[in-house]
Amino acid sequence: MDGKAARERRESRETNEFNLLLFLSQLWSEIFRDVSVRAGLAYSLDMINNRPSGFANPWLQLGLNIICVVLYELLLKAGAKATANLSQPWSWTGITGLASPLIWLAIVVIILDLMIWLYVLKYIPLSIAFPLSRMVDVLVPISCWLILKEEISPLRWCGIALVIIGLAIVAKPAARLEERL
Amino acid sequence: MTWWSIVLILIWLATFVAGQLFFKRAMELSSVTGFHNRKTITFLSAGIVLMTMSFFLNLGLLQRFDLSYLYPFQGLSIIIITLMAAVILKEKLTWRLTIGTLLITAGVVLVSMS
Repeated sequence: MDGKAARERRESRETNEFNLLLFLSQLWSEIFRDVSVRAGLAYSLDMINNRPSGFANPWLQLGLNIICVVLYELLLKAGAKATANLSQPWSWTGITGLASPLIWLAIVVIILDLMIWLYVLKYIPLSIAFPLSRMVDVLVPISCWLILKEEISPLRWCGIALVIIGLAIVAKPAARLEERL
Repeated sequence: MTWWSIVLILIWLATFVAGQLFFKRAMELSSVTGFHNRKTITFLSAGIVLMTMSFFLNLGLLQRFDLSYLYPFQGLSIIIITLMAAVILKEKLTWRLTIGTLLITAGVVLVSMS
Protein backbone atom coordinates (compact mmCIF):
# COMPACT_ATOMS: atom_id res chain seq x y z
CA MET A 1 0.00 0.00 0.00
CA ASP A 2 2.68 2.41 1.09
CA GLY A 3 5.07 1.21 -1.58
CA LYS A 4 2.51 1.72 -4.34
CA ALA A 5 1.77 5.33 -3.35
CA ALA A 6 5.49 6.09 -3.14
CA ARG A 7 6.08 4.64 -6.59
CA GLU A 8 3.22 6.67 -8.05
CA ARG A 9 4.60 9.85 -6.47
CA ARG A 10 8.05 9.09 -7.84
CA GLU A 11 6.65 8.38 -11.28
CA SER A 12 4.70 11.60 -11.39
CA ARG A 13 7.77 13.54 -10.21
CA GLU A 14 9.83 11.93 -12.94
CA THR A 15 7.19 12.86 -15.50
CA ASN A 16 7.24 16.43 -14.27
CA GLU A 17 11.01 16.54 -14.44
CA PHE A 18 10.91 15.11 -17.92
CA ASN A 19 8.36 17.70 -19.02
CA LEU A 20 10.43 20.51 -17.49
CA LEU A 21 13.53 19.23 -19.25
CA LEU A 22 11.65 18.98 -22.51
CA PHE A 23 10.33 22.52 -22.08
CA LEU A 24 13.80 23.89 -21.26
CA SER A 25 15.41 22.17 -24.20
CA GLN A 26 12.71 23.49 -26.52
CA LEU A 27 13.12 26.99 -25.09
CA TRP A 28 16.88 26.78 -25.45
CA SER A 29 16.73 25.59 -29.05
CA GLU A 30 14.21 28.34 -29.79
CA ILE A 31 16.48 31.01 -28.33
CA PHE A 32 19.54 29.54 -29.94
CA ARG A 33 17.84 29.33 -33.30
CA ASP A 34 16.69 32.92 -32.96
CA VAL A 35 20.21 34.07 -32.12
CA SER A 36 21.81 32.09 -34.91
CA VAL A 37 19.20 33.28 -37.43
CA ARG A 38 19.78 36.86 -36.34
CA ALA A 39 23.54 36.48 -36.61
CA GLY A 40 23.22 34.90 -40.02
CA LEU A 41 20.85 37.61 -41.17
CA ALA A 42 23.14 40.38 -39.94
CA TYR A 43 26.07 38.74 -41.72
CA SER A 44 24.21 38.35 -45.00
CA LEU A 45 22.90 41.93 -44.74
CA ASP A 46 26.51 43.07 -44.35
CA MET A 47 27.33 41.06 -47.46
CA ILE A 48 24.48 42.72 -49.36
CA ASN A 49 25.05 46.27 -48.15
CA ASN A 50 28.75 45.54 -48.18
CA ARG A 51 30.28 48.32 -46.22
CA PRO A 52 33.95 47.76 -46.88
CA SER A 53 36.29 49.57 -44.52
CA GLY A 54 39.81 50.96 -44.77
CA PHE A 55 41.16 51.54 -48.27
CA ALA A 56 38.11 49.86 -49.81
CA ASN A 57 35.77 52.43 -48.23
CA PRO A 58 33.66 53.88 -51.11
CA TRP A 59 33.83 57.44 -49.70
CA LEU A 60 37.63 57.30 -49.62
CA GLN A 61 37.54 55.99 -53.20
CA LEU A 62 35.29 58.93 -54.15
CA GLY A 63 38.04 61.21 -52.81
CA LEU A 64 40.63 59.38 -54.94
CA ASN A 65 38.32 59.74 -57.95
CA ILE A 66 38.22 63.52 -57.41
CA ILE A 67 42.04 63.72 -57.28
CA CYS A 68 42.24 61.72 -60.53
CA VAL A 69 39.72 64.03 -62.25
CA VAL A 70 41.64 67.19 -61.25
CA LEU A 71 44.82 65.59 -62.57
CA TYR A 72 43.41 64.54 -65.94
CA GLU A 73 41.50 67.79 -66.51
CA LEU A 74 44.76 69.72 -66.24
CA LEU A 75 46.60 67.17 -68.44
CA LEU A 76 43.84 67.29 -71.08
CA LYS A 77 43.78 71.08 -71.28
CA ALA A 78 47.58 71.22 -71.56
CA GLY A 79 47.56 68.49 -74.24
CA ALA A 80 44.70 70.06 -76.18
CA LYS A 81 46.43 73.44 -76.16
CA ALA A 82 49.64 71.90 -77.47
CA THR A 83 47.92 70.13 -80.37
CA ALA A 84 45.30 72.73 -81.34
CA ASN A 85 45.40 72.93 -85.13
CA LEU A 86 41.93 73.78 -86.29
CA SER A 87 42.74 73.68 -89.99
CA GLN A 88 42.88 69.89 -90.04
CA PRO A 89 39.64 68.35 -91.36
CA TRP A 90 39.06 65.89 -88.50
CA SER A 91 40.06 68.24 -85.69
CA TRP A 92 36.53 68.55 -84.31
CA THR A 93 36.56 64.89 -83.30
CA GLY A 94 39.50 65.61 -81.00
CA ILE A 95 41.44 62.75 -82.58
CA THR A 96 44.36 65.09 -83.37
CA GLY A 97 44.89 65.42 -79.61
CA LEU A 98 46.39 61.91 -79.59
CA ALA A 99 49.61 63.42 -80.97
CA SER A 100 50.39 64.79 -77.53
CA PRO A 101 52.01 62.50 -74.89
CA LEU A 102 50.14 64.50 -72.25
CA ILE A 103 46.86 63.21 -73.70
CA TRP A 104 48.09 59.62 -73.45
CA LEU A 105 49.09 60.19 -69.83
CA ALA A 106 45.62 61.66 -69.27
CA ILE A 107 44.05 58.53 -70.83
CA VAL A 108 45.94 56.32 -68.36
CA VAL A 109 44.64 58.44 -65.46
CA ILE A 110 41.12 58.34 -66.95
CA ILE A 111 41.13 54.53 -67.13
CA LEU A 112 42.32 54.35 -63.52
CA ASP A 113 39.66 56.88 -62.58
CA LEU A 114 36.98 54.90 -64.44
CA MET A 115 37.71 51.79 -62.39
CA ILE A 116 37.58 53.80 -59.15
CA TRP A 117 34.35 55.49 -60.29
CA LEU A 118 32.67 52.17 -61.13
CA TYR A 119 33.60 50.92 -57.67
CA VAL A 120 32.08 54.06 -56.11
CA LEU A 121 28.87 53.62 -58.13
CA LYS A 122 28.49 50.12 -56.73
CA TYR A 123 27.84 51.56 -53.28
CA ILE A 124 26.72 55.20 -53.61
CA PRO A 125 23.60 56.45 -55.53
CA LEU A 126 24.47 58.40 -58.69
CA SER A 127 22.40 61.40 -57.58
CA ILE A 128 24.68 61.78 -54.54
CA ALA A 129 28.03 60.60 -55.91
CA PHE A 130 27.99 62.79 -59.02
CA PRO A 131 27.32 66.20 -57.39
CA LEU A 132 29.96 65.37 -54.75
CA SER A 133 32.45 64.45 -57.48
CA ARG A 134 32.04 68.00 -58.88
CA MET A 135 34.16 69.14 -55.94
CA VAL A 136 36.80 69.38 -58.70
CA ASP A 137 35.14 72.62 -59.83
CA VAL A 138 36.38 74.12 -56.58
CA LEU A 139 39.68 72.27 -56.35
CA VAL A 140 40.90 73.26 -59.83
CA PRO A 141 40.70 77.07 -59.33
CA ILE A 142 41.97 76.79 -55.74
CA SER A 143 44.96 74.70 -56.82
CA CYS A 144 45.62 77.25 -59.58
CA TRP A 145 45.56 79.95 -56.90
CA LEU A 146 47.82 78.04 -54.49
CA ILE A 147 50.29 76.44 -56.90
CA LEU A 148 50.29 78.64 -59.99
CA LYS A 149 49.69 81.87 -58.00
CA GLU A 150 46.83 82.81 -60.29
CA GLU A 151 44.53 85.63 -59.24
CA ILE A 152 40.98 84.75 -58.18
CA SER A 153 38.41 87.55 -58.56
CA PRO A 154 35.78 88.23 -55.86
CA LEU A 155 33.06 86.90 -58.17
CA ARG A 156 34.98 83.66 -58.58
CA TRP A 157 35.40 83.36 -54.80
CA CYS A 158 31.60 83.78 -54.52
CA GLY A 159 31.13 80.94 -57.02
CA ILE A 160 33.55 78.73 -55.06
CA ALA A 161 31.65 79.52 -51.85
CA LEU A 162 28.34 78.58 -53.52
CA VAL A 163 29.76 75.24 -54.67
CA ILE A 164 31.05 74.48 -51.17
CA ILE A 165 27.65 75.32 -49.59
CA GLY A 166 25.93 73.13 -52.20
CA LEU A 167 28.37 70.27 -51.53
CA ALA A 168 27.71 70.52 -47.79
CA ILE A 169 23.96 70.33 -48.43
CA VAL A 170 24.31 67.32 -50.74
CA ALA A 171 26.69 65.59 -48.32
CA LYS A 172 24.09 65.67 -45.52
CA PRO A 173 21.70 63.12 -47.10
CA ALA A 174 24.83 61.11 -47.92
CA ALA A 175 25.63 60.94 -44.20
CA ARG A 176 22.08 59.80 -43.51
CA LEU A 177 22.44 57.13 -46.20
CA GLU A 178 25.56 55.88 -44.44
CA GLU A 179 23.64 55.60 -41.16
CA ARG A 180 20.83 53.63 -42.79
CA LEU A 181 23.13 51.02 -44.28
CA MET B 1 30.08 80.33 -81.89
CA THR B 2 28.26 78.54 -84.67
CA TRP B 3 25.23 76.28 -84.49
CA TRP B 4 27.63 73.41 -85.21
CA SER B 5 29.53 73.94 -81.96
CA ILE B 6 26.23 74.07 -80.05
CA VAL B 7 25.28 70.72 -81.59
CA LEU B 8 28.69 69.31 -80.63
CA ILE B 9 28.33 70.55 -77.05
CA LEU B 10 24.84 69.00 -76.83
CA ILE B 11 26.08 65.65 -78.19
CA TRP B 12 28.99 65.79 -75.74
CA LEU B 13 26.56 66.36 -72.83
CA ALA B 14 24.13 63.67 -74.01
CA THR B 15 26.84 60.99 -74.43
CA PHE B 16 28.34 61.92 -71.06
CA VAL B 17 25.01 61.70 -69.19
CA ALA B 18 23.94 58.48 -70.94
CA GLY B 19 27.35 56.91 -70.22
CA GLN B 20 27.04 57.70 -66.50
CA LEU B 21 23.54 56.20 -66.36
CA PHE B 22 24.72 53.01 -68.10
CA PHE B 23 27.64 52.73 -65.65
CA LYS B 24 25.40 53.04 -62.63
CA ARG B 25 22.94 50.49 -64.01
CA ALA B 26 25.75 48.04 -64.82
CA MET B 27 27.21 48.32 -61.33
CA GLU B 28 23.77 47.87 -59.76
CA LEU B 29 23.33 44.68 -61.78
CA SER B 30 26.84 43.46 -60.99
CA SER B 31 26.24 43.68 -57.25
CA VAL B 32 23.23 41.38 -57.68
CA THR B 33 24.35 38.92 -60.33
CA GLY B 34 28.11 39.47 -60.66
CA PHE B 35 30.01 40.29 -63.82
CA HIS B 36 29.26 37.04 -65.63
CA ASN B 37 25.97 38.38 -66.84
CA ARG B 38 25.19 39.37 -70.38
CA LYS B 39 23.14 42.41 -69.35
CA THR B 40 25.87 43.75 -67.05
CA ILE B 41 28.49 43.42 -69.77
CA THR B 42 26.19 45.05 -72.35
CA PHE B 43 25.47 48.04 -70.11
CA LEU B 44 29.14 48.36 -69.16
CA SER B 45 30.34 48.31 -72.77
CA ALA B 46 27.60 50.75 -73.81
CA GLY B 47 28.81 53.06 -71.04
CA ILE B 48 32.44 52.74 -72.13
CA VAL B 49 31.59 53.43 -75.80
CA LEU B 50 29.54 56.52 -74.85
CA MET B 51 32.21 57.83 -72.47
CA THR B 52 34.89 57.35 -75.16
CA MET B 53 32.76 59.37 -77.60
CA SER B 54 32.26 62.13 -75.04
CA PHE B 55 36.00 62.08 -74.27
CA PHE B 56 37.00 62.76 -77.88
CA LEU B 57 34.26 65.35 -78.36
CA ASN B 58 35.47 67.06 -75.20
CA LEU B 59 39.01 67.06 -76.57
CA GLY B 60 37.82 68.56 -79.86
CA LEU B 61 35.90 71.25 -77.96
CA LEU B 62 38.88 71.99 -75.70
CA GLN B 63 41.01 72.67 -78.78
CA ARG B 64 38.41 75.19 -79.93
CA PHE B 65 37.23 76.93 -76.77
CA ASP B 66 38.54 78.04 -73.39
CA LEU B 67 38.06 75.65 -70.50
CA SER B 68 36.25 78.48 -68.70
CA TYR B 69 33.75 78.70 -71.58
CA LEU B 70 33.03 74.97 -71.50
CA TYR B 71 32.76 74.73 -67.72
CA PRO B 72 29.18 76.08 -67.38
CA PHE B 73 28.02 73.26 -69.66
CA GLN B 74 29.77 70.79 -67.40
CA GLY B 75 27.89 72.44 -64.54
CA LEU B 76 24.69 71.76 -66.45
CA SER B 77 25.54 68.06 -66.49
CA ILE B 78 25.20 67.97 -62.67
CA ILE B 79 21.54 69.00 -62.92
CA ILE B 80 20.82 66.67 -65.84
CA ILE B 81 22.46 63.64 -64.21
CA THR B 82 20.75 64.16 -60.84
CA LEU B 83 17.41 64.55 -62.62
CA MET B 84 17.96 61.50 -64.84
CA ALA B 85 19.09 59.39 -61.87
CA ALA B 86 15.78 60.23 -60.20
CA VAL B 87 13.65 59.63 -63.29
CA ILE B 88 15.34 56.62 -64.92
CA LEU B 89 17.15 54.90 -62.04
CA LYS B 90 14.36 55.78 -59.55
CA GLU B 91 16.79 57.22 -57.03
CA LYS B 92 15.22 59.24 -54.26
CA LEU B 93 15.44 62.97 -54.96
CA THR B 94 15.01 65.00 -51.77
CA TRP B 95 14.52 68.77 -51.58
CA ARG B 96 17.88 68.99 -49.88
CA LEU B 97 19.62 67.21 -52.74
CA THR B 98 17.84 69.41 -55.31
CA ILE B 99 18.81 72.67 -53.58
CA GLY B 100 22.41 71.48 -53.05
CA THR B 101 22.71 70.48 -56.71
CA LEU B 102 21.32 73.85 -57.89
CA LEU B 103 23.77 75.71 -55.63
CA ILE B 104 26.74 73.70 -56.98
CA THR B 105 25.63 74.46 -60.54
CA ALA B 106 25.21 78.18 -59.80
CA GLY B 107 28.67 78.17 -58.22
CA VAL B 108 30.25 76.46 -61.24
CA VAL B 109 28.64 79.02 -63.58
CA LEU B 110 29.87 81.93 -61.41
CA VAL B 111 33.41 80.50 -61.31
CA SER B 112 33.56 80.22 -65.08
CA MET B 113 31.95 83.64 -65.68
CA SER B 114 34.56 85.52 -63.67
